[in-house]
Parts: sequence; structure tokens; C-alpha cells
Amino acid sequence: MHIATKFLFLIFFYSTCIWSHHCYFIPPDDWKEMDLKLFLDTRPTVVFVGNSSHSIPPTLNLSIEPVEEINLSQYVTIVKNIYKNRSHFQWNDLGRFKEGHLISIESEVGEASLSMFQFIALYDQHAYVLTLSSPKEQFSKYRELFKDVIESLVFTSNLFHTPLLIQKREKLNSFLEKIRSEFQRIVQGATSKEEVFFSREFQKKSWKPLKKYLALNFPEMGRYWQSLVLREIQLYLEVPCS
Amino acid sequence: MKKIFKIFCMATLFFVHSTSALHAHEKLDSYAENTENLWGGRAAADGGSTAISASMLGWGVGLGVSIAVLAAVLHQSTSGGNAHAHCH
Repeated sequence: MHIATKFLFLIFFYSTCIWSHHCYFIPPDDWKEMDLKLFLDTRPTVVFVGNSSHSIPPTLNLSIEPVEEINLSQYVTIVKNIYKNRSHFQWNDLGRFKEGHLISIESEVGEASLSMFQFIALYDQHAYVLTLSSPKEQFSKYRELFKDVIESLVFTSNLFHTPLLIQKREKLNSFLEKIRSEFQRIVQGATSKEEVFFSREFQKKSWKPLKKYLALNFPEMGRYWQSLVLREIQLYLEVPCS
Repeated sequence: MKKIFKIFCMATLFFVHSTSALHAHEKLDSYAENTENLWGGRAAADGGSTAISASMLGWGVGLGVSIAVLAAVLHQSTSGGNAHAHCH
């Protein structure tokens, strides 16, 4: 009975992840993920910010726009028209890059000048827009780094569909089962799942070890992938990610 | 879609004006003010002639640019604070 429950949990968890569509990339190691709450209701999917001695740090963010029945070149044409109508932008169409389209943008913002790469790709009726920015005078320093980030982009219907994970799945399975059991144990008698999730006990005994486990065992997948996996698990435990 | 941009720009401005840390920083104020101009002020003044209002599509790129600017501003205003906080 116990084995059957375990099995059903894992099947259900992985299939939940398979039904979703994901895009992830590998951010630079020492960049920090910003709290999305800072962006109020217009939350992007994710924002990373780099360390810099310059007053304006380099940043990268991913925004996702639902689109229907449109192809990449049509979407890019719309984007170009948007930029054409903004004289305070200098932009340059860099053409196809990987499975998407790359645009460079420069803009005077106050006393500062920002340079950006904007990578656009369409996947499963969504436009994925990765925007990478830095002060204009430092852009050449970050150019290659930005291209590496763009090249690391992966679009997938299954976060766990990587050869690396297949090798390590057994251990991950037992970790997930342990977390689920621990969560179920504490949730008995608690007022809400959210309360249990954020309780010191659950965070210390289960969640932090899981984060550490992902960081140690899947460094190649990058922190954003790890972050997405954690979000999936959190949602599966029916705790909304605020 | 134009509404979304307006709401975003208004939210940006509201945030900027309601954050004392930013008020203290003249440079950041002008920086944020210009963010509004990027996607709000001039575009709104252009009214129906803009590509945004002509099409429902393409707001993802505007959001990307706005967030890039906002992230730089927020990072500065919270530097030394807790800009780094995950959702989990």
C-alpha cells in the first residue's frame, strides 16, 4: 500500500510537470535573483541582477506574453513597429539567433545610457522575451556573457527531461517522497498548508535540504532551473508561490 | 493592451514616488521618470497612432525593457538591503 502511494505520488508529480510548458536558462553564477514582489502586479517571470562597481548594474529578465496563431516573423514585425514609433530608442535588428530573433537596443534614460539585447522566441503560443541590459559603456564587457545566457535557453514541456536527471532520478524520487511524507505529517491538525510550508520545522528539515540537494547535484542546470523545480514542488504541495 | 502599459507605468511611478529611498536619490528619480517616458508618456500622447494601440501584441518587449530599467533602479535603492530574496 505504501509503495503504491509512493508510486502514485511520483507519477502524478512528474506528469504535472510534463503538462506545463517551461523555458529556462543558465544565469551567470554570481548574479542574484530579485524578489518579484518588488515589481508589484507587473511581475515578470524572473529577474537577475549582476554585481557591478558601476552605479547601474547589469540585469536580465524574462517576460512571457501569450500569443495565438502568429509566427515569429509576424511577431518581430510588430516589435519593430513598436520601436520605430519610439524616437528615443536606437535599435538594431540582429536577425535570427538560435531558434529566435535578436534585437539590440540603446536608450538614454535620465543621465544614463542603457544598452540591451532582446531575444525573442515563440514556443507553445507564447512569446518569450529575454531582455539583458547593462550601462552602454560596459556593454562590450557583457556581450559574450549575454550571448552565453541566450544560448543556454531551453524550451521544454518537461523540466525533468534531461539525461542528467534520468541518471539521478532515483535519488530525487526518494527526496521528493521524503518531503511529501514530512509535509503530510506536519499538515495533520494545522490550519493551512501555507502555514506548514513556511513553518520553521518544514523549512529546516525538508525545504532547505532540498534546495541544497538541487544546488549540489544539478549545478549544470543553473539556478533558474532549480528555482523552477522548487516552484513546481511547492505548487504540487498546494502552496501558492507568492 | 494600452491599458496594461498605462497601469504598469502608473504602478512604476506610484512605486517610485512612494518610496522614500528613491526620493532621496535625485539621480534615480530622473532615471525612473524617464522610464515612464519610454513606454507611457510619449506613447500615451501619441494616442491611437502608436503601434501598441494598433495591436494587442508586442507588450512583452515593452515589459522587458521597463523591467530592465526598474530592476536597475530597485537594485540601487535596496543595495545594502535585501534585494536578494527568493519566493521560496
